[in-house]
Amino acid sequence: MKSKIGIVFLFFIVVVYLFNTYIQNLKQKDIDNILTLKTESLKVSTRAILDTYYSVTKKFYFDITHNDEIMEMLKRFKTSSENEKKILRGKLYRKLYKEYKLLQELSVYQFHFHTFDGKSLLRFDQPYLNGDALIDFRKSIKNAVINHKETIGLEAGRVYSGFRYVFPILSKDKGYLGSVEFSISFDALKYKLISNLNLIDAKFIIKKSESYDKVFKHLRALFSKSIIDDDYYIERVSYKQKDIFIKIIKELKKQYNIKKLLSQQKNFSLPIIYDGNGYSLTFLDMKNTSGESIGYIVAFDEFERLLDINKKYSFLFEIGILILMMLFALIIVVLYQFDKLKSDTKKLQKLIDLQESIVILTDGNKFEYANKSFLEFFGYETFEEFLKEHNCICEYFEDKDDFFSLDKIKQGEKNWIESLLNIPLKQRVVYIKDKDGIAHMFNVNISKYDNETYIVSFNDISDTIREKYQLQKQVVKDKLTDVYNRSYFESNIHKLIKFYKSEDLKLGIIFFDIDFFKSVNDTYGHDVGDYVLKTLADIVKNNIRKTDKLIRWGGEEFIVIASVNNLEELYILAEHLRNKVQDFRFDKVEKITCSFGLAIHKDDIDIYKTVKLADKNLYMAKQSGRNKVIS
Amino acid sequence: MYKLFLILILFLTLNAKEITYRFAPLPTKNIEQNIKEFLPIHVYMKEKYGINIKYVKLKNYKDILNGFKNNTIDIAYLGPLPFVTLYNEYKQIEPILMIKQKNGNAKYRCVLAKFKVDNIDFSKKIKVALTQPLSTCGYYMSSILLKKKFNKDLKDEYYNYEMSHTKALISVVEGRYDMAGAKEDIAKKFDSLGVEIIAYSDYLPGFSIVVNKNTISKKQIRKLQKIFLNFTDEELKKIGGIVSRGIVKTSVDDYKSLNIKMKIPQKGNINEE
Repeated sequence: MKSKIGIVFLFFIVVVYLFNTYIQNLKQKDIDNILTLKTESLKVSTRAILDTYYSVTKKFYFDITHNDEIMEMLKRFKTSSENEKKILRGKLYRKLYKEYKLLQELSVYQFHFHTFDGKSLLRFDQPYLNGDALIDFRKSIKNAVINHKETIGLEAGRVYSGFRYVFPILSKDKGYLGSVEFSISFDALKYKLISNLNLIDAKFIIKKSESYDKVFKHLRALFSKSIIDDDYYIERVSYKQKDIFIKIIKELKKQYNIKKLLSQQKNFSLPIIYDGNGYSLTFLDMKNTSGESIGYIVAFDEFERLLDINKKYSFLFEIGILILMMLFALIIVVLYQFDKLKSDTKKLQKLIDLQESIVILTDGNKFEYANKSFLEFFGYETFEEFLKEHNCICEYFEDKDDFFSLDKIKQGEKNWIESLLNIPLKQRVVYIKDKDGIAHMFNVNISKYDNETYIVSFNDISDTIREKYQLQKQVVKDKLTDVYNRSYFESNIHKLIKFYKSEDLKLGIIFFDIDFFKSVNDTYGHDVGDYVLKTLADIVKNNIRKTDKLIRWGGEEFIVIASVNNLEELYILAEHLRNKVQDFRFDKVEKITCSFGLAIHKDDIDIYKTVKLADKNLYMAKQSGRNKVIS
Repeated sequence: MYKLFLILILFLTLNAKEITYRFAPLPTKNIEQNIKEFLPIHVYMKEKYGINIKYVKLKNYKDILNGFKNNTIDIAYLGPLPFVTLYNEYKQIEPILMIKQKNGNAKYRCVLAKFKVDNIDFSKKIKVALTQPLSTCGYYMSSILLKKKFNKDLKDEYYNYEMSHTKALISVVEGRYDMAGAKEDIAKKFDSLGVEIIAYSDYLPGFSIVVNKNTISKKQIRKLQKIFLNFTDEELKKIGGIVSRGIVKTSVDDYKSLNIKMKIPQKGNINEE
């Protein structure tokens, strides 16, 4: 039992595991659908913002390249001395600083002119910082110098990294004068994303190699390690970062391998529940102008539906577990009951096996068990062998008078058990032949074991019945002639009447006695007299039908009870007997005759009156000369 | 300088329980810049000695003065003029350590600078860009230099506060002002933009760590001074941050040369926009 419970428990654990996996998969699918939408929204919104900036910066670029004064300054810058360049730089700043302020209001944080040979000409955000070579650091500037092409995209720089729009500046004669760059502040992008998408916060994290390692050393302090991952830095870090953001990042790190996710350089979104609220962090992969992933936009957003989804699937899981537990309990109970039943049945079978009589367990239709005595009786090794050939012990019940058989099952009775239970105990006797064909008679005892099973024991009462029959035989038979006596007549005549009637036959009485029997006794003695009586009985027995009954009525008087259709048939039978007796040669006595009186019994009169009528006819036969049949 | 100060505070309280000092950095710089300059020494002090620094963000020198008076500030990092100005009003403050300039000098100069190609017409009122009212190189030294070099009284000219040296110099490049008063080293950075220095001051005492004697005992102050001055330049560089420039001892005497009797206007006299 314990091992069974163990197996069921293991099965339960496996089912719970599978169920949980299934629920988690469903839940994850729901969450993923929403997170995918969030990622797409972030992607589209970012693209829309950057495209808008492209239009804005392109307009500024157009204005610059169509301003003759500026173009002249840039042209002169190519050939001026160092001192003249300083003046030109100052003048350029003076010319465009108002535009720069406007750009700042539009969150374009860097407005930067580059020289024709790829050096910094003028940074409007840090105008005193110039002259440094950029061509080897910045592919966008290299593209402008070499190919005179514009470059749009994310790029690391010596001061900041940013989303850049770099446009080449060409004179009217197509001479290359340098380039101008507009960089979008990540803060601008961040605030616009926060505003457009109603985010809690947004960050831009950029690889160390593309930020901290590339900027001027004295500006490295403007970068700080991102709390999201050590390999990523964040610009213009505010020391007043939202506490909730920091806490959630810490929690996320416990739950996810963020470093690994970042290394995959793909967009991803992570859900998290913190302090009873749902949040999501969406990471949008940002590539530089060479198509390399160099950072992520991280959108920190509320995700209230996460709680609903969690609640929904937690509820489903709990309900599922409850059902499984109930099922588990039910299985245990069933197993226990089954085990108990099996144990009880085994005990019962053991007990049954100990019984000498045949005992079976059955519901009346299905045969469930039989003891060893049963198998020995029918000559089977195992119960299964028996079942291959038979369905029921009742198949062996033989149809005999005074014995129960399947033919005796009445209408409305479900089976032989019910039928047996409906008859008195004394009559629950069946007649069965054993493996050797020897007949046995059993008294059937039926006890209810449970709602469906009966214990049926077959007690062999063959000897008792045989003794009874013997006794009965002794009582109803004449000792001398071994034919029925008057007691038999009295006990059975009504049954016979009933039987003949049911067969639509008539009961005929042949009353006969030996003519001058007294003289036989007187002449030859009683032994010869007895011999004559016995021999006469044999002659008659041999000349009547098996269904006919010969009865010694008293002294030398006999009665034959015969079934006939009419008196003529009875007369023929009597005449036949008279002739047989007349023709027989007895020892010593030689020859005797008998006189016969006949009568046909009528239903409405007493049988004894019929006998009397036959006796009267016998008297008539005697009176008319003996050895005659009078009807 | 701040780092030095923090270390000083740390050693002062070595045998004491964890202590928190309320520190007011330069109001002319934003809080983030200040924190970045002092963060290395802050972290070092906290990890090594359990001394914590609480940054008190104040908008101007007046607030710092009030902070000292109300005993809500223990330490401040101040330029020479602000110190002298505050000292004249409240004698319970004392400069204990001077942090060197980036160029390694403990002292510095103020200058007047202009865009090279601009011709200033001194026959008319000129426009001068200034840093902050209590900045040494602001109204105070600019008025001295203007008088000395061009015989002009600043109070009679146009002036306005741009609130930082860099902004004052940029305003000159932009053409909004004829000249700007600023620190020499900052003005020199603008050489590449055609900015030239047209007047130099004498060397002035530098920025210093100033303590509130009402909230820090004399014994603690002297002990801190001793400990920090025992640091070698290499040790200070190793600590990093602003103290890596180097530290020298200072006192009220170093600031006596400054004439703080001048009345410094708190607002400019032009409405540029």
